[in-house]
Amino acid sequence: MPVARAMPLHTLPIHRSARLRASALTPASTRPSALAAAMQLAQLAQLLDFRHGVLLVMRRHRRDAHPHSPAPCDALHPVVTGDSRAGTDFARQIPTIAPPVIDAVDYAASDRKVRTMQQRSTPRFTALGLALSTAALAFGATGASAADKVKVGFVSTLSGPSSALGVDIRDGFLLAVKMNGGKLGGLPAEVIVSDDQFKPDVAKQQFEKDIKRDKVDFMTGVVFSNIMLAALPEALDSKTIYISPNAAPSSMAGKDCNPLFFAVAWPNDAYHEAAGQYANTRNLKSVYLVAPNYQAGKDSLAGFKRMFKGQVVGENYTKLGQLDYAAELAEIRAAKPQAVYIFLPGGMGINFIKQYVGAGLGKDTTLLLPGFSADQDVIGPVGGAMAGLFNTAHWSPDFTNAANVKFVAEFEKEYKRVPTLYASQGYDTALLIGAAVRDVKGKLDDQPAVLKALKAAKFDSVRGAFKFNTNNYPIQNYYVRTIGNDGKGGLINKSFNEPILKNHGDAYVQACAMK
Amino acid sequence: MPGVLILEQALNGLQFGLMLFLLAAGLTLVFGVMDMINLAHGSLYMVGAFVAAWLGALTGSFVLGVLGAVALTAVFGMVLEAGLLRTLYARDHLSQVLATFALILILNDGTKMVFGNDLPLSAPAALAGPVELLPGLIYPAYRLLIIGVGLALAVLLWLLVQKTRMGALVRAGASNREMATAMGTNIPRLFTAVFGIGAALCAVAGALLGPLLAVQVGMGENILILAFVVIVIGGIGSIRGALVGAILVGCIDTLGRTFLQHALRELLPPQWASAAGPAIASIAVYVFMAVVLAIKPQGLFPARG
Repeated sequence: MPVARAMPLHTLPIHRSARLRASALTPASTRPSALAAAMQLAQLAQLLDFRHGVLLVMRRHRRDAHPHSPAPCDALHPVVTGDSRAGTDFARQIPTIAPPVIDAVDYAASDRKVRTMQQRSTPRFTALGLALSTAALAFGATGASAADKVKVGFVSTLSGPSSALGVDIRDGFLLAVKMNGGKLGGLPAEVIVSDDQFKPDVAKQQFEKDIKRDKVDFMTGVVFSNIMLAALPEALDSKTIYISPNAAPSSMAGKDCNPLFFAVAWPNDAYHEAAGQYANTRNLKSVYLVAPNYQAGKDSLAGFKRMFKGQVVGENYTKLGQLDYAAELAEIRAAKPQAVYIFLPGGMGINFIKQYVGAGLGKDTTLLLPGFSADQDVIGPVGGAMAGLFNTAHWSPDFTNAANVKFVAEFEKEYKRVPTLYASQGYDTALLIGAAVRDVKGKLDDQPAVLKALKAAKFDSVRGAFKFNTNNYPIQNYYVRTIGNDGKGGLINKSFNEPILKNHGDAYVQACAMK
Repeated sequence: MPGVLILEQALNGLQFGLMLFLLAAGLTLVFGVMDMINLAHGSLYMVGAFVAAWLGALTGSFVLGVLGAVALTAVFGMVLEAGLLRTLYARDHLSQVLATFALILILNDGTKMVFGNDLPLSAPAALAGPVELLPGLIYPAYRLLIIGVGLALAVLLWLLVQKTRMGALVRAGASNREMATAMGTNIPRLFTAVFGIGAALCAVAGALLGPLLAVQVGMGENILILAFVVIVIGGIGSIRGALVGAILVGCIDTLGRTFLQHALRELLPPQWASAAGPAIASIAVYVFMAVVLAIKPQGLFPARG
């Protein structure tokens, strides 16, 4: 049967006419362009469950019998161009990293559009297509089986002002896969990268697509807690393991803890607790706190106050996304604290630090930062004003363990920039997944064994010692870092050898039911 | 509350207001004269900041960076107007919103492709530190520069609009466009010039605020919303309204963030004050806008008669 020779049965191309041309109507060898189309479409097969192919054909059949008025062309679907080469165009236009506009394609809508722009298809093609999909069904192809590759769905913020974090986590993750020869734990790895555009509903859609259509073994990638909490039920309800390379809110550490959820980075409060402890060791008696007025902001200052033993002379919650901190800085100057601790992620922190130094406050008042407000993505835009500032983190680029030395060198060679702690987290996440796959010897169907292997976390983390607590949150050391010259005219974080918090877990583990 | 703190906050409000004025002036002219809602105004501000950062790094001089950014952004704005936005004048406001919103997205990604996600921009070293204006009142020198430039540009704009022929045409176009066309003004050239001036003002604001705020992709959106609030409060098409509205908005925003919190802390129990304070501060400006619209729906100084 020509179908079996032309392309693997478990792949069903999306565009009918291309599929028919490539397989049912012409032998592969005499139509190179059609074969190229078929092979490209075969590569795309991961995007499409064969069920959709059947549905497409059946819809077409129904519409052939009942013609209806054409649907208006949808401006969001540029890929389906409607001419006979559309299959190839479609293949060319979907890059491996599928942009969300493609993923949001409503297959019914695209089907209508194709139909209106093309000639009406004849019943002969419909019957042929139906026969083709039935044959595919009969051969029982279900896509790649879990044991010959490991599929990871990676959803992160890759566009917009906050994209630097997601891009770094992705780059760290993909670097680990590349350094292992495209494999994780001995199995070929397929990482499906999608952009959540900093929107919870888009993240939810991407999760659903990865889990239901691509049947991934692991989900990972989300940067922000609010986005992750919105999309997480998609994974947990479908019994898919989610490994968080960044967001680790207190709710998932405590009462909402779940055996399928693993936090590889740090509990959300950890850096703030470390900073509070550091303020104690520096004998700082009065501190002024600033954070944005949202849940993570409130949690962060609560974490700082949990450890800090001195007096909090002011606690200012600013508007999320606020640009100008002149008013707050005037208040700080009037309150005369010994130190200021801020939690202002992203652009907010950049603005605040620049204005803080410009207002001349840096001379009498120490500015303490959590690690994510003092990493390379902030040092770049702020510049020289960052020199000498102290911050707390679980990782620093100058750690001397073998895994980290290799990671930093490879990252700088591959991406021509110094890795941030987000990149190290993405890298560690990939290593963790690889270790689990290796320890279950590729049998990913045995989920209890996979969970056990993940929990054992037998991998060489770039941060040094790593182990999971009973609630699947890390127990690890936290260090103080300071920003100094890197010897090449720029600035980089340098850590102090002695950790400020040793083998530190989180404050919510008691509330978790897992033991 | 110490008098020094009040003075410092007053200066902060003035500085913020003057920068908003630069953005709002261009926006109100475009809206008033051409009757076009231009959401991409914030993106011109972002382009101005990026070009200033890039030129500043290239030439090593902050002043040259700012001047170059103004010139280049004005040219860019005029090209954009002549090429693309001209087709939108005849259309309804919703189409203009959609088209200029698309322009925001395109410019955001375009800037990311050309310059990267962000660029460093620092104040000139001479102005990097604070000055002591009065005993006890320490204020950043750079913000004083911003206040100075803002006031100078306000005066310049007033002169342009009130005392020159072109300004008369702009005022005529703002108050009654059809009649101005009937009187024989060269509308296309006027519109291009107005848009160019608006873009230049945006670039000044972007270049000056660059050292204070982060020069990042997407920096224009937040300030654009406030600029729209300013022109609604001040009256569409009126530069005087834009100035008054901007200073009011700047002061209310600063007041909301500081004195309101102090006052609430006196009146309410602490956990209520720390919850209510930030909430009211973020909406204070919009509440004021609602009040103004309730009393004077056309704004404080409407241009249209």
